Formats: sequence, structure tokens, C-alpha cells
Amino acid sequence: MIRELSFGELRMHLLHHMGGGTTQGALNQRIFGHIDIDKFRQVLGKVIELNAPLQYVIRKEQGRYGFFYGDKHFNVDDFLIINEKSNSPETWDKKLVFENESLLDSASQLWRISIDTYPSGYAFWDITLVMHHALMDAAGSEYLLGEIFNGLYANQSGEPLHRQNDMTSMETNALTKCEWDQFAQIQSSVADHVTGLKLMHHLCSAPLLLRRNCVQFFKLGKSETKQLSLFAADKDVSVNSLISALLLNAVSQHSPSRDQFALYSAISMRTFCPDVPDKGLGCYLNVMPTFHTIKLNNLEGICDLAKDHKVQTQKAFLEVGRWVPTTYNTKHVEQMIKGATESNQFKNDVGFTYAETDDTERNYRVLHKYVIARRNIGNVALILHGLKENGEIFFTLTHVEPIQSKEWAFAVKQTFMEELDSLCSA
Amino acid sequence: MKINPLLVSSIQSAMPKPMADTPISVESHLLHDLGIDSLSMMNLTLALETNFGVSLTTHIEALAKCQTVAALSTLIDNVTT
Repeated sequence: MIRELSFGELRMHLLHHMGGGTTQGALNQRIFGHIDIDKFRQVLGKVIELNAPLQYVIRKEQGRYGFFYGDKHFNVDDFLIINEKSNSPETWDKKLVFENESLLDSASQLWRISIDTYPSGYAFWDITLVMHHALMDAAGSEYLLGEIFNGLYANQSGEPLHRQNDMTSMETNALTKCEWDQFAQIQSSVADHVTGLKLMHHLCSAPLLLRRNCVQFFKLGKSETKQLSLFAADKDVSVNSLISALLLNAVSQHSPSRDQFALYSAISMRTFCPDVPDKGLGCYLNVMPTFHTIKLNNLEGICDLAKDHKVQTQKAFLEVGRWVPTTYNTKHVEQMIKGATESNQFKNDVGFTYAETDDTERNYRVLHKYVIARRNIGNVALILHGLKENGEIFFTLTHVEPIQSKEWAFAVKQTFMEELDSLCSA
Repeated sequence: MKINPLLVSSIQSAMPKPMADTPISVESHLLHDLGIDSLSMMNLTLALETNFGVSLTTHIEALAKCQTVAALSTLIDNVTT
């Protein structure tokens, strides 16, 4: 065993293991130009060699889950699928969904990549990365793809590839650690708060195996993104808070009997762990809820909501999000996850993640970049992922059928985009 | 107005790396001049709690309203005295 899984990794793994791949994530990028497959294979081999965590698998031994080296940890072809000129470029979205539904066997491998090339006449190719969440947060997937692209376009950038010998754990490094009892108390207080909101249960409960993740992909163009950023700066709120407010507002407009909502936001703990690099493989995520009351469905209301989101996020971070438990055992975490997998009622609610890539000059052009994750258990039934890349924002809205209907999710997306457009032109 | 060195080091620890050499003055705007957005504000809050030995959980609303170093300095003075 290389090392035992940390709390965050164990939580992600058990969610994956017990919930049928719930925390698996996939990312699809469309890259301008043509790909040299032989060079790609060569670069990927080098990246695997330099980054030990890419060779890890997860196994359970004597009641403890840990990282081990996999049997096939140096064979590029075990991690790479090439589809040459076989697919229509219009079906990339179905491909992404398919890849994410094809679950990783974590005892065998924790990630894979597939490449789609298209017939001559199409000046782009697609790369789809599927990863177990114990290896990946936004910075983790960004790092892996960045290393591959650095190698692939090395003649132009000349930037050397990086080496990562191991993954340090969040609880070893977090500035704010706590005992398991304190952590359990904090989680219990959050649960009480949610119950206190008297949220309506969703219209139907459904066994885990009947739940389906359904997605919609859409994007915000460069000029609209710029307008949005200017608007956010003018109102002294972040783009993250503004989009969160727009999402809550859209959900609220299509949930007429409710005015209170819980929003679950993922935060990166990398910056709060001094020895964890800004970029690298590993998952340093925490999720925390904020609670919001929707008062006005207009521009003024959205701005107030964004300001409230900023304050509530800060507060939730200090009270809940920053605490990383250190004294736990596998049974504690198994019990916590078992409760989630056995629950067949969604009490709440809405989730949002947002990540921005570096604005540094690149030698390749990304035409689109969408992320998807399975969300069929847990306490989030509708989640919006936003990825900003090269001045555009790419959104994935995931809902869970039959808990939420396709028509409802479509209406939420329409309202979200309409409000976003009106805000960009304000 | 003189800025408490502990406040300066707290702000510096929270500033994004590309802004690391930006001089800090009482007039500096936390977001526009020093790049302290909502995420780095969490970092700043942790640094303030550690450096000044106080809990800021009950002062988040006031903290969120601080737009300048001067306003932040006044808030910390109020919390610590």
C-alpha cells in the first residue's frame, strides 16, 4: 500500500463504490487543428511515467482502503482509446455522456482518455478524460490535460513536463483541522438547518438504480462573458456569486411554492493547504451549503442575492467548509455514505461549481470544454457546472430523472439564459 | 493612517500570486487594486483570525462590506479592542 486514503479521498471513493460511480467525472475538450496520434501516445507515456498518481489504483486490504500501484501502470494503451474518423463530430455530447456512464473499475484503473478524430475537412479533434474523483478536482484534470498539451505542442512552448511523485493528503496539510466528533457535530447542525427550512420534498422518490443523470450543454460567448465580468465588478461581487444568484433565481421561478433554497457549492481547499500545489493531481474539494431566500425576481433582486451569496459563502466556509476531520475511521465514513445511498428522498436542492482556467498564452486553441459528473445520490438534484476558458463560459446543467422532469430542467435553463442575457445587456 | 504590519502580512498572504508585488496602502481597494475576490477573502479571513487571535465568524457581514484596506483596518481595530 502506498498510503491509506485520506478522509476526502475515502469519501469520494465510497460514494463512487456504493453509489454506482456517483463521483466519477468526465471532461470533453474540442481542440483546433489536427492531432499526431503517435506523438500523443509518446507524450502520454512520458506523463504517466513522471506522475506516479496516474499509476495508482484503489483497493481494500484488511478493512483499510488505500492507494496501490496498478498492474498495468505503464502501458499507455490501457489508458487510451483512439476512435479514428469513426464518429460524427455532432455527437460529442452523447459521447461524453456515454464515457461518463462507463464506470471505471477503481481496482484496475482510476482514469482513461479517449481521442476522437474526424475525417479531413474537420479541423479539430476531441479529447475526453474520465477520472475517479480521488485523483481529480478542477486543478487535477486541468493539470493532466495541461501536461499532455505541453508535451504535444512542446516544439512551440518548450515548457518542460512536471513531475509529481505522490499526492499529499488534505488533512495532513489543512490549516483548519478538527476531531471527528466536532466534524460530526458541524454536519449535524447543517442537517438541522436544512430541516428547519421546511423545504418541500421533490415530487417523487426513486430507488437509486432507477435514477438517470440527464444533461444540457450550453455556453456564454466572449462578449457576454466580458459584460458579465464588468457587471459583477461594478456591483462588487464575483462572477461566481452572480451566476449562483442567476441559477437560484431561475430555479425559484419554476418552483412557485418555495422561496427558500439550499445551494451546495464545491470549494477548492488547495489554497488552504500550504503544501498542496495550485495545480496537480489529487482531490482537495469540500462542499458546503448556503441558504437563500428569494425575494424579488428582477435585476435588483439578483444583485442582492449575489451579494448575499458572497456573505453566506464566507460564513459557510468559516463555520463548515474549512473543517477537515483528522480522527476518523473507515466505519465512520462508511456509515455517513450508507445513509446517503439508502435515502430515496431528495430534500434539497441545487448545486453549483465554477472554475476558471489561466489566461496564459497557449499554443493550442480550445473550441469547447464541458465537464460532467454523475449526481444520482447525495443531496443535490440539480447541478450547474461552469468552466471559463479563453473568455467563454461552458455550462453543463445536470438533473436527475424521474426526480425532476426534463421539461422542468429545460425551463430552468431557458430562464437562466434569458436572465443572463438581460443582465449582460444591462 | 498607519497600517498594522499584521494586517499587511495577512493581506499579502491572501493576495493572488500575480499581484504579490503590489504595494498596499490605506486607500487600496481590496478587489480592484489587490485582487482579493470572494475566494481569497476566505484566505484573508483565516489569516486575520490566526494573526490577531480572534474569531471573525460573527463579523462576516461587516467584513464583506469592507472594500478598502482602511475599512478593514477599522473593523479589525473594533474587533480586537
